[in-house]
Amino acid sequence: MMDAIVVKGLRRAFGELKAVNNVTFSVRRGEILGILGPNGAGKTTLISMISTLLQPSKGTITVNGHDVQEQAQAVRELIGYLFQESILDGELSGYDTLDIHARLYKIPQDRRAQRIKELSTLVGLSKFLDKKVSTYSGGMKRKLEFIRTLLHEPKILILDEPTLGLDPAIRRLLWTYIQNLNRTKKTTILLTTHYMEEADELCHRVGIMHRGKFVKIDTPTRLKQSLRGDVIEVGSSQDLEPVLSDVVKLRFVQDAELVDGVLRIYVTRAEKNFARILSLLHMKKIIISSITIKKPTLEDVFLHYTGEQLQ
Amino acid sequence: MKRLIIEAWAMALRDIKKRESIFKYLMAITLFGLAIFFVGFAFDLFVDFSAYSTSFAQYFSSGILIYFVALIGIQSSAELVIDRQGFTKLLLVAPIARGSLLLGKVLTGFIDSIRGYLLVIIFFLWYFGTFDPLLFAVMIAFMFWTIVTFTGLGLWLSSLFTNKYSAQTAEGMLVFGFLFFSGIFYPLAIIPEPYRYLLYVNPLTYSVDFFRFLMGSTPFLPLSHQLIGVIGFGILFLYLGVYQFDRFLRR
Repeated sequence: MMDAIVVKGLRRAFGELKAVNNVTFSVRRGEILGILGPNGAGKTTLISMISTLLQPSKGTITVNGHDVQEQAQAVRELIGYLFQESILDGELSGYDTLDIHARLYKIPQDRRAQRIKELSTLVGLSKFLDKKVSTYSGGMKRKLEFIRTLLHEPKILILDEPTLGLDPAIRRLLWTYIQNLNRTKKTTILLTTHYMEEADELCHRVGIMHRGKFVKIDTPTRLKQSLRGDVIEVGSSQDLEPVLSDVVKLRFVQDAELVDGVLRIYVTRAEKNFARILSLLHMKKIIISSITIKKPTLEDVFLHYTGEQLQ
Repeated sequence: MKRLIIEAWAMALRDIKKRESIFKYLMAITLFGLAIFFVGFAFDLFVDFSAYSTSFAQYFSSGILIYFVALIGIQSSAELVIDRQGFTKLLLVAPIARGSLLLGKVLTGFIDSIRGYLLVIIFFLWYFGTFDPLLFAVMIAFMFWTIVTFTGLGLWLSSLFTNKYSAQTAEGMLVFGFLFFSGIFYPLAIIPEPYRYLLYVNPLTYSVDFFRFLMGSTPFLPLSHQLIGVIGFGILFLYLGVYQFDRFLRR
């Protein structure tokens, strides 16, 4: 089956800055692919090009087989785009906001009211539709924008930081809507986020984007497994650089690195080998201020592949 | 074509629904009409316009009204560019013909100008006793064309700039120049010949003069020259507006 989105050798520069630098990947039909990266990684630039908003400097993008540059209108018919920043008119009512959007997408008159009712009920906004958007809370506004994106039943949904700035309860609620949409309608979803938990919870696959490039794309589970073990983090007021080479030499240590003065050790069976690491550090006269053992998270994965903390 | 109209209407509907209540609107146009009326009549006390077979009030009101119509055109199209990170962005990812964006703004401008000025125009036509049903119908059509022309100009001008504040400054200077170099306040005949060319390159000069003719006042230019100016500048700005806006979107 043809992939929903295919990106090949994509580049976009703004003057000297290479915002997207030779990116190649694809999104399968019915898949939720998350793009994880810090601010400035190139996530929004990348999806802006996929959604026809921005012209690539080089490379090709096809959406359901349509070239985004040659067949931009066909691509626009297929996608729904939820922007990172709020784009709402405070002077309009919730109903008018949705109605105008439905008209722009040429949804027939008899279907418009029905779709608005269906979707507003789904997110619990139906009682507030006659109120001006300026009176909505942040969460209500985001819900309104979310259902506006769904009005025309897009086959591909592009969500740019969909839950940015929302409180945890609303965030979880939106996750549920997104998951249900993907499960019931088989909607392909491409989302950008810098919330690890969001990527872990929602996405079938996650692409780690750093400085305009994908450094790794895989399922969250496999990404975590790729670290080959558990993570032991050792903190100390002393310089840990001298012991790094000794730690790496231990048979059960897969890898070790120093990140912001913290020694991160990737080990197999941490609970069993923990004591041996402690004794090595003791032998090297290291005074430990903190030590933690954990299963790897996407944050660890991000740190491992980019060498930077995700802010 | 049907599609274009549906899309443009949806865009115009958004702008219309955002407008103030009917009460505030009626208050505004009443005050506006009165302002023009009193300025015109105040100047009539010390400006003798009998040589032009008209009064200053009649002369001034026709000019200033079409100026405000043109202003609506410039401002409404500029919104498209200035709002690049807002609603325009939403439109750009929707399956909407690029022509609909312009047509939508033309529709908004036309509806706004009808709402804002038609009653005032009717009042002046009645007051000066120059109401003619045929010329009135042409006047409505001409208001539409004025909106088309100046929407094109506004779109062209604002698309030239990457910075929205520069665009707003340029527009401000332009509309200021339009106000004083188009014969709204004074007859073109009083300007010495070499300087008169400044007025001839001003697209609003032709609109003002033609509208003056339609409102039963005394125009300066022959009708054929008015029409050439009005149609020519309209087509030119429409082309420039679409061309430059397209380039702006490709940046």
